[in-house]
Amino acid sequence: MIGRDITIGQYLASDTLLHHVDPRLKVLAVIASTVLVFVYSGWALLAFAGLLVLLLVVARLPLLKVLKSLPTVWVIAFITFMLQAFLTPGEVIWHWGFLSITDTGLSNGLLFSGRILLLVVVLAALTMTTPPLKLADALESLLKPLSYLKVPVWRVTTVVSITLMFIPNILEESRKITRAQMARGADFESANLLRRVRDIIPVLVPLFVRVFRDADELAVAMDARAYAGGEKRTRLYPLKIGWKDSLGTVVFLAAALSLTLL
Amino acid sequence: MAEILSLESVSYSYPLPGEGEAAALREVSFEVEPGEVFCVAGPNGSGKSTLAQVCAGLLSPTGGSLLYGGEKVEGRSRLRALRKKVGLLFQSAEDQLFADTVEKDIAFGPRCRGVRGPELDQSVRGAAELAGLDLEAFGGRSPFALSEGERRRAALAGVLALSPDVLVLDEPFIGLDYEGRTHLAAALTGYRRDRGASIIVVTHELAGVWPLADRFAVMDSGSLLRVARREDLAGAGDELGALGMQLPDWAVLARELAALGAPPVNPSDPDALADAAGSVMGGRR
Repeated sequence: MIGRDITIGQYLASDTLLHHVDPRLKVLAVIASTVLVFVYSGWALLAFAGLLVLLLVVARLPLLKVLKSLPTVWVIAFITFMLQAFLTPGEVIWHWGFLSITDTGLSNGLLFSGRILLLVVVLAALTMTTPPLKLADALESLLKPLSYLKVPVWRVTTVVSITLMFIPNILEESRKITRAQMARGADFESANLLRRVRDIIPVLVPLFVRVFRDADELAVAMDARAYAGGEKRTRLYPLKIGWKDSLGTVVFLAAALSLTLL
Repeated sequence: MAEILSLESVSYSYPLPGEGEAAALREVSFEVEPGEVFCVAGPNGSGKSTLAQVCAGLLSPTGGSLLYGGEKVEGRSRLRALRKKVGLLFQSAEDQLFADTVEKDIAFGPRCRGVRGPELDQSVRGAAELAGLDLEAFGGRSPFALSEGERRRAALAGVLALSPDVLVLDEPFIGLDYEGRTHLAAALTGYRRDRGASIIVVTHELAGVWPLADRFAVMDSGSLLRVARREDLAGAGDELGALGMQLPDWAVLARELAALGAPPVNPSDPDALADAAGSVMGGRR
């Protein structure tokens, strides 16, 4: 039924180990993990996946639930797997008519689809454990050197954080509007694909109207409360890296990098 | 009278991000009779909007059962069939309006059902008239350029164009001025009279719906506290007050007058109230 999913990008208010880690270290760890997901293959990638899963199990994050609620990711991973399996040249291990699966294709298919799933898991772990405002603070802090090159870092990070904050809202709104249109005759469950595409317009128009209105109201509200970014802005809770955070991140990165030996 | 819609221990829970669920409805049971105006009253967060969507077949109960015309609504095809019988007007009219003109917007529902030509034109005109919307004046305008009250009427016309047997309205009187409320109340009365439809009004504000509703279901925290006829609920001001709801002043006045021996009157009719007060005071007005 509509409206019963968890969405990617959504923050989960909880008290896990990862929630307490400084967001800058988490962002750096995510960047490092993203690079490693693309660098590693074979046993090293499998071991890295194991390391990530172990970390997330220790942090008690409901990742399976998140992965289950993202059918699009599974479809992309499945299509990637099929394309690799059937189209990569190599030694044929299964053959039916003009279709054949090669050994290289099979291993490439598993590798690339595995990488997609791992990337989603890594990003979801970051957004699930970091409130959008802290994430924006972390990005602003990490991108600070760019401000010497006259890049308006705080503006960029404000836009990023507001976008992240609004994604779950927009998804929730779209579900609500979908139900509102179903109540007046739209059929989103019709077998007729053309009709389903046509019926998206009654959802998109009210959604855009709402998003633009919300954006406008937010801008006015920020102005009314004298919001000013940049150097003048101070924080009630400035980011602080504790020794436990540093130690944990170093141990994780050291373990991840040691997998190059495999 | 055989009920048209009935809920038998209906529960609904929303999954929480992460683990667990939040119960919005807990074993709610009631029946709605044909041609009846039934009000579901409760404070914010009492599960009223979820209940409205369950009644309209947009959310499937996670416990208990929903019956339409005595038949259990189960499975996707029956839910789809229920949506053709029950129309729902959401609280925010903006969620339902999208076309570039009001006329096209009202025609959307019937078009989805395959209605075309003069029949379509007729259902659009009929719905606009029932909703109290002057199609000559508003038909060619953008729904987004209307006032809140006009937008609400346009959205109502869009739902009425489907001629639902049961009309569910979520907080229809909120945000409307006196004129808007009067128009809406007249539209609902007209639709009930002309089509014999049942109307379910979900609200936390009783003043608008009080003169229309035959029975009230009082809800709090997802549970049904009681179902009462209007005259019985008129004596439950304290109970409603504890839930943050208020009886309309004139309803309280009518009850007090009845207690002093005045004949029963329609509490929303000021002249009738004045006559009743006069009769209590020995014929003076």
